[in-house]
Amino acid sequence: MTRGAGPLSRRGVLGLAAGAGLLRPLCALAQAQAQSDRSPNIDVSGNLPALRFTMTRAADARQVTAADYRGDVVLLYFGYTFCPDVCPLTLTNIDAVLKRLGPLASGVRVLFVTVDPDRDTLPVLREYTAAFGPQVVGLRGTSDQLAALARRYRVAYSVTRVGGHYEVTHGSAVYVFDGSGDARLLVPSLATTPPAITATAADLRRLASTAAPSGILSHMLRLLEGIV
Amino acid sequence: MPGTWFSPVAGRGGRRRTTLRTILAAAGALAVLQAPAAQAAALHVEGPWLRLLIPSRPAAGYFVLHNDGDDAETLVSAESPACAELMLHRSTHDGGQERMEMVQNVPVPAHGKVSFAPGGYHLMCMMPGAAVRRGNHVPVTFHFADGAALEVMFVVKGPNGQ
Repeated sequence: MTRGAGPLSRRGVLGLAAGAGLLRPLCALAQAQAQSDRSPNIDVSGNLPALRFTMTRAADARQVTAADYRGDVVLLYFGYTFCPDVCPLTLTNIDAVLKRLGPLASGVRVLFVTVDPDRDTLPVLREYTAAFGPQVVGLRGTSDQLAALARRYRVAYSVTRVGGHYEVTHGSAVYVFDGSGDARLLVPSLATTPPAITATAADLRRLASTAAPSGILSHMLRLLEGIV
Repeated sequence: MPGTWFSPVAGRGGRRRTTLRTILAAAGALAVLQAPAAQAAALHVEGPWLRLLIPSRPAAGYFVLHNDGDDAETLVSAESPACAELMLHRSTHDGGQERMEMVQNVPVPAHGKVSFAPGGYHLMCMMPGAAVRRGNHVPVTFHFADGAALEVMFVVKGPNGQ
């Protein structure tokens, strides 16, 4: 079965040359494709602190902490309900990412933290997040609770009232935590054109499929990932 | 009186001159009104839709505005009976920060187009009314700097654009 160990025949060389002629544009195409599919996401394992917060969950008005989401891959995003453009765009693209994960998506929770708790009452936040599917969890903190979480991940936000209008700014990033609550990935933005749906889905698939193990096993897995 | 309107009578002709001036002014105004109507024909809108989230929050509007005319146009405002207020907005992304700002006008180049698309320019329908229901069509009127107006029907879609 081991053919071709010897020198290439003339036909073989010609074939290869013709193949190379065809291959080169194909390679360029694949390269361009890889370029566009290359993940813009940043591995932050060990560089950002583990998930920690105390906030009120809009769905049931209960106080929750990061411990309530242990075992889930968590996507943390900061927005507000008076945000009709970028927040829905980001949440819709997150939904597109989750659809690509198939059954693994059931182990993912999207925490939508309002940066505008004054105007975002629990009922409004519940209605807004429910509009994007059951995996989206609306969280509202006191200004101290919000400031603590934002500071932890160096997220900037501001709510300014200018005349009768509000101006709100918020970080575009989505922070991803594994099932142990460790920070793993920073998605700079899912409001870009085109959004990195495929690449982010691939990144999350890796995380979600290794989300369950905890303790020494997950530590070893992480070490292994570091080596590979 | 007929035939005397345009006679250059001095003295007591003040009233006649006023009449003449009024007619000329009216004709001028008519010409001004007609020109934008002709230019508006060069403007058309593609794929207009509103993203309804929840009734108590603003709905964003998206479309592509084409200008097939030889003159540049400037979109200055929009209005709809379905919205308490309809504003021109733009989302900007800078250094990891998202910001949304009101814009006073949006240029539409001659033989060009401008896109109002998620993550960029968008209409902001404040306090959407009962007509802004998924599947419904609501009218939006665009106003341009030269006085032209263009009415377009927007289809209302859900949070994920479907």
